[in-house]
Amino acid sequence: MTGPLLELDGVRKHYPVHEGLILRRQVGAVRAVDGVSLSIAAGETLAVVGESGCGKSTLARLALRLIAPSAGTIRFDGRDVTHDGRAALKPLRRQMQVIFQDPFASLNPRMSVEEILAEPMLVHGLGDAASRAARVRELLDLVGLARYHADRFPHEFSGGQRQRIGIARALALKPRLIVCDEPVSALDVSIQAQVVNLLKDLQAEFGLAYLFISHGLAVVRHMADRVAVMYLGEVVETAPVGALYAAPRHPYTQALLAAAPVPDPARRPARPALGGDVPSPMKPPAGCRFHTRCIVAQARCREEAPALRTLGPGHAAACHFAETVPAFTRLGAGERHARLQARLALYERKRAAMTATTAA
Amino acid sequence: MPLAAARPILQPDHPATAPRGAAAPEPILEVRDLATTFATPRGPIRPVDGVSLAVAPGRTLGIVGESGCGKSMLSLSLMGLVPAPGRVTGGSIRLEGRELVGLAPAAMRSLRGRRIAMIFQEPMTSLNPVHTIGYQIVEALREHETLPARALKEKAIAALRQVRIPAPERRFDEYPHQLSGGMRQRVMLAMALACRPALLIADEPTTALDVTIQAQILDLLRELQAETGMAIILITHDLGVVAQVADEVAVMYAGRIVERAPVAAIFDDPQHPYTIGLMGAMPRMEDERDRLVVIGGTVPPPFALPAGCRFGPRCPFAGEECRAAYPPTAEIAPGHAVACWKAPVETQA
Repeated sequence: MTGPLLELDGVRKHYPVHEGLILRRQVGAVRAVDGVSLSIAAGETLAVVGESGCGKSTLARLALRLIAPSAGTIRFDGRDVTHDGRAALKPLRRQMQVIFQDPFASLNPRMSVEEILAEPMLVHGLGDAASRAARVRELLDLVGLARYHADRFPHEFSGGQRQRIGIARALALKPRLIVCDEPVSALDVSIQAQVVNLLKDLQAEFGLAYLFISHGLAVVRHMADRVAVMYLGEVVETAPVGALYAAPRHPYTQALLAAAPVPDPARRPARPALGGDVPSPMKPPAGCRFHTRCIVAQARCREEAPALRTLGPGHAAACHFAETVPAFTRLGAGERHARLQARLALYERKRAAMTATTAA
Repeated sequence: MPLAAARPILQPDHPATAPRGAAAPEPILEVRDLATTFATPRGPIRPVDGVSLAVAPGRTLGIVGESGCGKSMLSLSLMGLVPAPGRVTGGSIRLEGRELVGLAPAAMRSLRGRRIAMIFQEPMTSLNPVHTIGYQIVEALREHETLPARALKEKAIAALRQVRIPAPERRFDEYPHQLSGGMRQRVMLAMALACRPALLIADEPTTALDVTIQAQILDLLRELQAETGMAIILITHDLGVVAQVADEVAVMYAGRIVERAPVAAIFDDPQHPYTIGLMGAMPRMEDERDRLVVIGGTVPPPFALPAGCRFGPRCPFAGEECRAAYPPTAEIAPGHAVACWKAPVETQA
């Protein structure tokens, strides 16, 4: 195996904050991303989870090199692209694409689906009209849309179908990496399941790598190979997906998992796991940034920022007390009820039969 | 028209909540065969089409459904806020024994906010950005109470304190943009609860919030319900949220309730194929990485409803009878009713 496909090393993005109308003094900086190191291998899904303002969307834009980092290095396929300009980045853009959260805002309402899907090829000067039209048909098939949809406009589609168009557009140039920025957050449960399954099928077929940005912990469980948890611009824990959900070591990861509502009325939490709001990224707390909300915080946490320490294979957490924080217990006993399980199996069988007859 | 306002108003506070699991107390809200109709160029559409439900004091009814199922139009119908050209065209809504369908706008306005209140998904768009939050709460109070300014301010501050907003005296003079999303939703709650309504309708109250803030707001709703004994109708697309706070659940599809049951039964013993599909489509943190159950197709638009059962074209169990007629709602266990020709699905194996 060769090196990682995408590598971020100590990446920072600070946005200066100015005050005053005439003398624009800089009064501080929003540290949106503050020293993040991550890597994604070909064909792998790395999920980045965190709450609003944790810097995950800024990280996505840095990974795509839509913005330049304030510090640190970004390498794609072993090549340093940190300081590349527009021209140098253009070939890179063919290899990394993006799917946005809002399928209503990310498609041009004046373009037909065919134009939307052909545009990336036009921009990169690929093929002729005939080959582009053929590729559009191929893309529609891939994402489960009908060929006659090519002549329609975005407003004629439902949210789920629009997201399929967005996915088809991202696939148009046969990229190796797709940054998925909350791709299913705006979709209904049944549609979300369709899109999650589609993304996984496409990954298996084309060996795509995904940088999957999400606040939905349950979706991440289904999508990711590895997970990085962000808080106030920093990665506080990173682990293989199984380890993260079974044995989270950072108190923030534990709180996030505890706060996610479990679809089982028999397991209701006594109290919310976490009080307070996320502090301002302009003035992150000194020491460990999470200490203002952390239940195990000690004096040391207020003074000394913890480094990301390796705790197991691929598992690291930035907490002084990662070894001694109480084990996380809420999950695990989450067996689906036998009756529901049986009905789901029956539903799946019937549905398979139904799709078989429709296809025939 | 007899002026409803002349009638004695029910007790300012609600009777003590019955303990969970005890015999259900008298419902505070009873809805029967409610229909809301919009005249459109393509003909009349009925986003709410024959909905019946009930909720008792101190209890929470969760209404679950996907976009376009009519759950938000249902809540606006209950509030008497259906936007033109829509209107309630059938059925009955009884709140504390009093019929709301056909009530004069003035009488409805007097009830709204005082006996029945509502909070919405996006607190930023529900709050006026150019007024302080204190001003906005006082404005809501003044609609129903004639008190001197100082007393109104004290009441507003008490309302902010009730929703656990720290330093409410200071917050009173702040503007919505100075607050976080979670704080704004608390302000909306303070405003909704200031007049101690008997029924709170919460339409996706935590959908725009982060998961740790969502947990705080849901917990606050539970606490406030225990304190005031109000009934809650919680409208959501999130089965996880429903599992955490609801006592009873109604699943809506294309304008109708397809299944309703106590919360444990919905999650343990779902009967309607749509409910079963939703349970499988929902990603769960407990599960290994695997495929999700798929409900094929999409919700039909209200002007192109299929004949017979509205879920029929998407349903793996559908047969002849499903295409022929809409199934009657049958009670299969106490409090558990389902509208499906094929339930229980085991018989279809």
